[in-house]
Amino acid sequence: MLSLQALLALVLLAASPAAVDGASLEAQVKAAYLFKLASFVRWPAPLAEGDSFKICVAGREDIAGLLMAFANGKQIENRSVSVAQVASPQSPQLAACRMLFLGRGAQTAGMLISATRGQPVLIVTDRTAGTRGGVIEFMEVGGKVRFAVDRREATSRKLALDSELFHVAAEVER
Amino acid sequence: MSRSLFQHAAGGVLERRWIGWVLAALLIASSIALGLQREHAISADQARQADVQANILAASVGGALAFDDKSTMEEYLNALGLDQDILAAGIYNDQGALVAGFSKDGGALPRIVQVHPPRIAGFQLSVVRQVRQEDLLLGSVYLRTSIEPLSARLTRYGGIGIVVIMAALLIAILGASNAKAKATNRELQDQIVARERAETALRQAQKLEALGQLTGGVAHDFNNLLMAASSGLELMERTSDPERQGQLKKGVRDALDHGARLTHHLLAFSRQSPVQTEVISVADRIDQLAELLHHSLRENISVSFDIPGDVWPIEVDASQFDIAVLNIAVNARDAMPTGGEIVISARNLAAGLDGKDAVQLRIEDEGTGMSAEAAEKAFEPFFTLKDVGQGTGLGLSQVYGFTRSAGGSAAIASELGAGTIVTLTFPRSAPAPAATATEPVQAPAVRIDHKCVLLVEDDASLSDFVGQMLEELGSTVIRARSAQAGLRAFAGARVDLAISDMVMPGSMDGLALARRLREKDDRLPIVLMTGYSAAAADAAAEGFVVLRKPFTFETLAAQLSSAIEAARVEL
Repeated sequence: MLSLQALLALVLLAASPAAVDGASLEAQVKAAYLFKLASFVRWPAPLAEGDSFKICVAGREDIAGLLMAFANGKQIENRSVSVAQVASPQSPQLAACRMLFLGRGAQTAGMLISATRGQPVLIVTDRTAGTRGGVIEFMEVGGKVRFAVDRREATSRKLALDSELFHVAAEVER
Repeated sequence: MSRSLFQHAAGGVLERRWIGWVLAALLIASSIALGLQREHAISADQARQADVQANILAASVGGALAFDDKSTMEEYLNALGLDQDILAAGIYNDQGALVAGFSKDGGALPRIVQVHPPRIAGFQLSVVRQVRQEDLLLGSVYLRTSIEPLSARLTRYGGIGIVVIMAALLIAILGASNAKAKATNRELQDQIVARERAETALRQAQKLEALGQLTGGVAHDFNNLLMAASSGLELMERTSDPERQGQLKKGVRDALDHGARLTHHLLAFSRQSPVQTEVISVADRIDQLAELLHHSLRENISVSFDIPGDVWPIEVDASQFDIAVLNIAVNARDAMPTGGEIVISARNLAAGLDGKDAVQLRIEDEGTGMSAEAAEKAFEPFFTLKDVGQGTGLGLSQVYGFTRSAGGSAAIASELGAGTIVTLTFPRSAPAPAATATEPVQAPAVRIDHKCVLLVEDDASLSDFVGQMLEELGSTVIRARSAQAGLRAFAGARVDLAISDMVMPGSMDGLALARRLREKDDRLPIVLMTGYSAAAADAAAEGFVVLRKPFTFETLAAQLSSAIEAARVEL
């Protein structure tokens, strides 16, 4: 039987051949997870009129590309999905981020987390790449991409997480 | 035997033999319908349950499906697998491909599924539900549950089914047997009616038999009366002595009165009537019968009576009583070819009939008597000692049947050459006898001067005679020969009083004419003449004054005055 990741890869390949070309399976899985995560989170306030649902990515151009291909024609919170890359806390894009994936660079990640502290931004970090402190944190268990959930961080950012996330999380920090 | 309408209707339905089967079939059909409805409800319930379980699974595995958490999915599936009704379950990704699942019954899980509501295939029920998180389609779940197999359901319904079938059979059998019982009952009632008719005919035959026995004597008697009357008239023509004429007139009158009374008796006697018991005084009844007896027996036979006035009343059918006495008397007459005496006596028997008070009537003759063997058989039908053509042998059997039906007994004691004694014993009746009908009291002759009387009579001589009588009373008489002619005459003149014969030729009889006249003028006094007792009773029942033929001048006057009186009272 084909694994889920292999299938996802096929799906993404089919959806956007150009973006997916050459992308690693790891990147594809993480991009898919990022996209799906939004459905399991509720933000304290709805998006302003005319705003799109913005997913920001720092340090992983490949994943940003995959997300862009993936978000094409899709909606989250009844809005179109846009993807932006941010490099520093000074990035003008940062203010509008609904989600922020800190794929690489622990230092930049720390600064971005600090810059958005207390703000309703779903911070996703990647333990395998050394970025820490997100509400959701990708990790690797038995060769598979899993994630940990930090409830305190979610609460501090006024984000409500679906209980199902706790069921499937590899770790839950109180 | 008056049944209510409901009973009649219900009886009518229950008499139909098939109705039991129809009811039974209806019972079974309604039971099956109820069973099917229950089956349907159970199926719907099972479908709902499967749907609910699929929904729960779909709501639970969203996260696991989104993030490829097979172990969580399997946890849910394992929990679901504990339900033994769930045969298989599967979780599919958003492309419809199987991610996790189980199948307990060996049947494979479908590789790819399409969403569909619960549907039944064989004894299985399958359902596919989408898994969604917000707007995001994550995949679908598949669930297959078992439906209780037919054999298990049949076993469940078997017990009830047997009870229903037993009840249905019971209804059918009861219905059939009820119908049969009704049919038998109806047959029985038909037989009873036929038997009653036969008995009535027999009674009439017995009466006619007795009458036949009497006829010779009565004819003889009538002959004597006619002889007396005609010779009296002849003598009257030859004499001019008023005193002598008066004597002769009285003789003729007496002879005619005699004849009239005799006719009355014979008419009353021959009337066909149902059994009607009444309380009678034996002394009075025998007294009334005496004249008929005297005249119907031969001259060389005398009848003497010994009936004290204090003999208790008895309750019998009076006409049957008369026939019984006549039958015995006729037998006595025939047993005394050379003449003799018949003694009819009665006495009270205290505690004489099964310990109860009774009245014993005893009829004794001095005839030839009969042997003990013959006496033993005397009450049997068709047993006769008379020569062929002289008797039917029904006489004494009528006596026996009559006394038995009156609750009494009959006995015969006889010795060859020493006469016969027949004793009839009747139970004493508690109530006193009803006053016996008497002839209308002779009212003083009314004058109907200057009144116009319509006389309708088809017999010319009788019309003349009655017309003359009416003219004697001072009235003007309009004569009509039929009811129709009477009606025409009534329309053409001012009639003060109508008198009509009852039995007349034509489409309208006297009673119908009287009704029509009463319709036209309800104050018109109407008198109807008849010699028939039944007709007289009918007319009297409708309130008309009845004049019994033959009648005397005095009786005519009396009935006319009572009719005028009655008409006046109605004013």
